[in-house]
Amino acid sequence: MAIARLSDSDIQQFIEEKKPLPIGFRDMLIGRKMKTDDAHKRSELSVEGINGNHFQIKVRISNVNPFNFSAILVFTTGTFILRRYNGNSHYHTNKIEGETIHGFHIHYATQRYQEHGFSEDAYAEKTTRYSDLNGAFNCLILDCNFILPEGEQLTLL
Amino acid sequence: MQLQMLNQTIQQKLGNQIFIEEEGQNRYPVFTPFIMDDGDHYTMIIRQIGQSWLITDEGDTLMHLSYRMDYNSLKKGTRQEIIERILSQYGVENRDGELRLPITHDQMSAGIFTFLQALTRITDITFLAREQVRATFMEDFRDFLRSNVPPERLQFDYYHPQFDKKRIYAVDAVINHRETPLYIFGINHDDRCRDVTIHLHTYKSWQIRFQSVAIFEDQQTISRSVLARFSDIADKQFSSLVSSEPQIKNYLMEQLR
Repeated sequence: MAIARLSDSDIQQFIEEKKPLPIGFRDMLIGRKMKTDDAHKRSELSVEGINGNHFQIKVRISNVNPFNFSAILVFTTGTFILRRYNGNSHYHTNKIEGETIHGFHIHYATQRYQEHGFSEDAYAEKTTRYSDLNGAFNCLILDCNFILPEGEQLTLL
Repeated sequence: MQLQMLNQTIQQKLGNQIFIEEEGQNRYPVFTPFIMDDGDHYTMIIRQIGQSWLITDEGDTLMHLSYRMDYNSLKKGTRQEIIERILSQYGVENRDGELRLPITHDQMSAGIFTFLQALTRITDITFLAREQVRATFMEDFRDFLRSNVPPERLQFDYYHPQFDKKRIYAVDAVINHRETPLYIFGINHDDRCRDVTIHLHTYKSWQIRFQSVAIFEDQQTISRSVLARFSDIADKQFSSLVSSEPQIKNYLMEQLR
């Protein structure tokens, strides 16, 4: 059995830690400030949580297939992916449970997958909560306890 | 008889694990049981181009790698050389980040396996051999400094002009135009850490003014005794280039003032 870098309780603690966002975060991450890297667009934003832990939001979207996207929350000590909100461009298989899913899905970091030698975020669940990158991004912001700058709210478009 | 039965069973079962769907116009995603380390299946799309066919990943493979590493690091140095070598071996082309394999109708099944092999080898780039990893860290270290220090303030591979005419005690990078020059070292294994320890003691013996900072690839991989001796002499340390990136950036900004 491999050694997990973070336990389930560590993971939950980092998800729950409040993370203040700067003004203009939306533009930086899924707006006009995204950069083009060949066949996809990308953006990153470093955020410090109120407990002093360092996180990064990463966003990727394919220029070829707009349903191939990912909104990612990374705990930057050791580049540990805590949560990943994917599009529906590919299948996913949860190897431990032996199930294959197709559709929009959310990757969750778990202790058990690390202990089995897989990536920390190798477990995913299908979702109907979003159908595009904007919706996935909103779910990441809501689920992972980001604090919006004063006067800003999550948008539908 | 048994062999024949085994063959039939395997061929049938294997065949059932690969199928093609239709999504949109002239776009046929291929499902295979092959997955990446994070459970996501490889993206393979087949398209017809005139009388021929094309297998493409629509840019997904390299985009996927960028979740955990800097995309630009895949386009130069050691990582780029490795990717290009792999692609060349399998006849796959990289067109602006999209991996493509032209095939004929008869080559369809062989092409699918060939393309898959190329994709699995490329995604394994995250598990580079030790010597290759050492080379990529120093490239990443230099790229990071280039991205965060103005070129007129940064010098790589510095040797003290007065005390080190034989060019033995290199400083990886110096930030100059300061009252006290900042000597920056990249450290990724025990031998390197020992060398830098010796260098720092030598600089001290010359009684020159300098301030030292070390950026580790992963400080936890350095043995305790080596790290202890280093810690006695170094002014400042960052445990990891990747995970301490925000802190290193802030530190460099302050030092540039």
